[in-house]
Amino acid sequence: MKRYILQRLGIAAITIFVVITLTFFLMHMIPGSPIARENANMTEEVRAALTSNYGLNKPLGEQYIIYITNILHGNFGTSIAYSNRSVTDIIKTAFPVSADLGLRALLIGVSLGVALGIVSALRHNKGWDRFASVIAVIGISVPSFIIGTLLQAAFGLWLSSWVKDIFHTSFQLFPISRWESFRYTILPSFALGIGSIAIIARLMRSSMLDVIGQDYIKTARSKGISNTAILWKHEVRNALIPVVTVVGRMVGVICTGSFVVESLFAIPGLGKYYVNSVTARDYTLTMGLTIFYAIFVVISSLAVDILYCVIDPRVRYTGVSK
Amino acid sequence: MKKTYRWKKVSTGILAAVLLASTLVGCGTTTGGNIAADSAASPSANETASSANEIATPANEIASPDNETETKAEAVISVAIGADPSSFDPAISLGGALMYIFGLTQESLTRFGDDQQLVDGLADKIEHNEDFTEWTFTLRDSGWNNGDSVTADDWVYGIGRLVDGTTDVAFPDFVYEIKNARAIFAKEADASTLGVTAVDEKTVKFTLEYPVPYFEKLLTHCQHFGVNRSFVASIGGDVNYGTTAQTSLGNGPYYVDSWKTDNVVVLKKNPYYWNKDNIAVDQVNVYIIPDESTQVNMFINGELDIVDFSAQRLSTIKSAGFDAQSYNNGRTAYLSYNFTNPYFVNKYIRQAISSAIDRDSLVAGVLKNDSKVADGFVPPGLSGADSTFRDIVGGTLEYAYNPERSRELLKNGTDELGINAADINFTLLTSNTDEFKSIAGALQQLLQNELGITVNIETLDSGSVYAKRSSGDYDVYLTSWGADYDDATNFLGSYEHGDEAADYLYKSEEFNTVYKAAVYTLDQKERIAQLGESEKILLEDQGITTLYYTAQYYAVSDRASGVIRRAVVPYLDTYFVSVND
Repeated sequence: MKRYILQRLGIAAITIFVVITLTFFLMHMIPGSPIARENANMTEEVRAALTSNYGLNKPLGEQYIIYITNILHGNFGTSIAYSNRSVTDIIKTAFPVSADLGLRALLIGVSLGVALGIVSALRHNKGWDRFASVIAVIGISVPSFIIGTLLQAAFGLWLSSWVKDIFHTSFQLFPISRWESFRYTILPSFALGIGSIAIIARLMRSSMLDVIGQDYIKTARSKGISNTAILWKHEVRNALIPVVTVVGRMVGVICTGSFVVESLFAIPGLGKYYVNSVTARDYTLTMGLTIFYAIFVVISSLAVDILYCVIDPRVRYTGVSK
Repeated sequence: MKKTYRWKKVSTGILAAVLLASTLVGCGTTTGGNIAADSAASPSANETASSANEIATPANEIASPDNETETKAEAVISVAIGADPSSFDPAISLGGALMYIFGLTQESLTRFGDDQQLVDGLADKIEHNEDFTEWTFTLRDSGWNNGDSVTADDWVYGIGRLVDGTTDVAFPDFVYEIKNARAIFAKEADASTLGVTAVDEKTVKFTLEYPVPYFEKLLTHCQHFGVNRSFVASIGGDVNYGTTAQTSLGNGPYYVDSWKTDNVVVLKKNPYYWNKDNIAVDQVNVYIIPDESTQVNMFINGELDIVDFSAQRLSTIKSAGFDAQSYNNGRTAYLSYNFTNPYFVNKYIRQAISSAIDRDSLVAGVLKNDSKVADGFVPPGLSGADSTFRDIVGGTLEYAYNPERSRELLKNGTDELGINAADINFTLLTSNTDEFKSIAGALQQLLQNELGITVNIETLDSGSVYAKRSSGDYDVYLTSWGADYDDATNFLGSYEHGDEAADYLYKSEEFNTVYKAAVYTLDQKERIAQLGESEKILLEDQGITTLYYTAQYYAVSDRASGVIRRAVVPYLDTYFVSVND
């Protein structure tokens, strides 16, 4: 196990290095420059001063070596577009918000998804199952910005205007946007989580149906074990294995910020920086975010693999990854 | 069998209940957990405004009965901008949304009044010599929000730091009209030779490189703001200026009281501002809301006092019972040609394109707002001498929509080039905004129908578009331009290119001569007329094909009055706003 983890960490380091190198050169290959202005009338000496400020006048290979040396010293540089803010500072400020939102969304996704999945497997082809299917179709096919807008309109606008009319209070149970206290987090968490409810519910359902038909369930039943015990100890636990894999992958995606949900609900998260930094050719920020994202994904998938071992004793790693 | 079924039923019910309960409990715990605490303690989150309840919102004030019993409630308005300011240092901040905040936190020597007329700002006496190359401003008694007096040195330092290497990232070319500014930046002159001097503590004198009759107007732009030298020194130097609320300083009617990145900027009244008694609103909450539909929802819900929106949300605003208003935001949309393109080198082809575009159909059919068909380049609303530029000059677009003439011009062009009209094939480059994407599509169709020429559309993000534009890697691009300061030179000056300029740019001896003559004309009226002549040449040549003057919808809450919209920066001004709760 120890050897396996060490091995995985080694592979992770190589992966991250490759990601850094590829991103660096790809970023510099796309046309454009962080100092480009809307009117192209920048005088020559201004252009020269700006490019040398950012070290962009050096040969690309040299810039790459400088960059790698810097990050080995833990220095991710200063953002070009968000002047005077270091990349580390941006991540430190914005990531906790994205992670907070992401964990709430995952919690909703996993708990409701697993519950719906179990219920629809137990009520196979009955009312509950159909209800779960409807939720799944909505969750998968309707993009989050539409769900978000609908939630804003339904709970932020209509509900609050009814509440205002009936109770004569200005209290807003579900604010339309921004990220302040708990009640602000409910709508965006659902907007972000509803997709995962759908995915997890479908997965849990098919996995449960698969497990229910297994021989060991029949054996357990014939031994006279209670239905509750069979449900929890055998069916749910075994059915959860594929779900854990998917959730692990989801953590990496959901907790690092969603451009759409965060901009719709005006949440100060990391999501917009991915998109905006590339548009602005903010090389340092794009690089910093990429490295951060790569590390996050690598670690979360490693965690999934370890969790896998814990949940399913049948999985034994002998140097061969699943 | 029956027993099994009942068990399943019971356990399913319990399971569902437990999981639902765990969702709610789980959410509750996360709120108080480490993550939320971390973000509140992060450096850019401000200690003064860590919870929503501490920021007074207009909604709270309207309905909460407690406030009515208080003697005098603070007047608060709320406004939204689309992006985080990222810095409050006027030297490095050029974001459009930030201009609104700068309009309130920084006052220049001049400012705009309750229309587009220039009025005295921090200077109450302005003198200039006959040829507009020497300007002397006498300052009022007014203060920065830390209590320091506004002094002449604020401008010596504020302009100096743009060119003498103090700030790393500067836009020094915005102040090149000032004597030796360019030379100092290029290290050809000593910093002490800069044409900004403090005659005494309350008198600042500007010496310029060439006559600038509109210098008072240039001063409203953020590169010409004063900066407090001793304050910058006290916060550990230039790199820290404007990076947080505490390291920002205002000399305008307001100052930045708190700033939570990507969330909210709270402005409070500057107690040392000379005109503070006439500022009715005590606090301005500037929320950072990137999404327009969210802004509109917040406005309808009473959380914002002013909102800008596009035509597609007009019905939403109207059905919520608000008046939609519209203002001319001083932008002109146009096509800019590459003069190395084999078709666009020919003047007739460019004139044919201009005559083939039914601008009415673009405005009425595509934009569906109050945008106006362009009859020139300089938008209406930019001032001239005693009336606007457009009033003085009139329309200058000779090649307005005229299908027959367009086909004639095209024939002249294709004959000259020895090609068939059907051979003409070029790519229209545009950035990926909704407006431009639909306009580009409409142009493609109009040109195909009227002239039978093929237009391909290339849509890219703005970064790539700028890159292609500045390297000449395009056939023609669709863009729009808005005024940084209230003078036609801000539009026409971009087309004065000498021989050394790149070949893909518009170059005309005739234009250069007339434009230069205009710049050195001291009589205002004549100067505007001359600039009008240069515009006429530009559009006769069809160096660019102008399409429409843009308009912007907006709405104001019932409680706020006195909101000013202008065709130049700041587009939104709440200096004169009062609230009626």
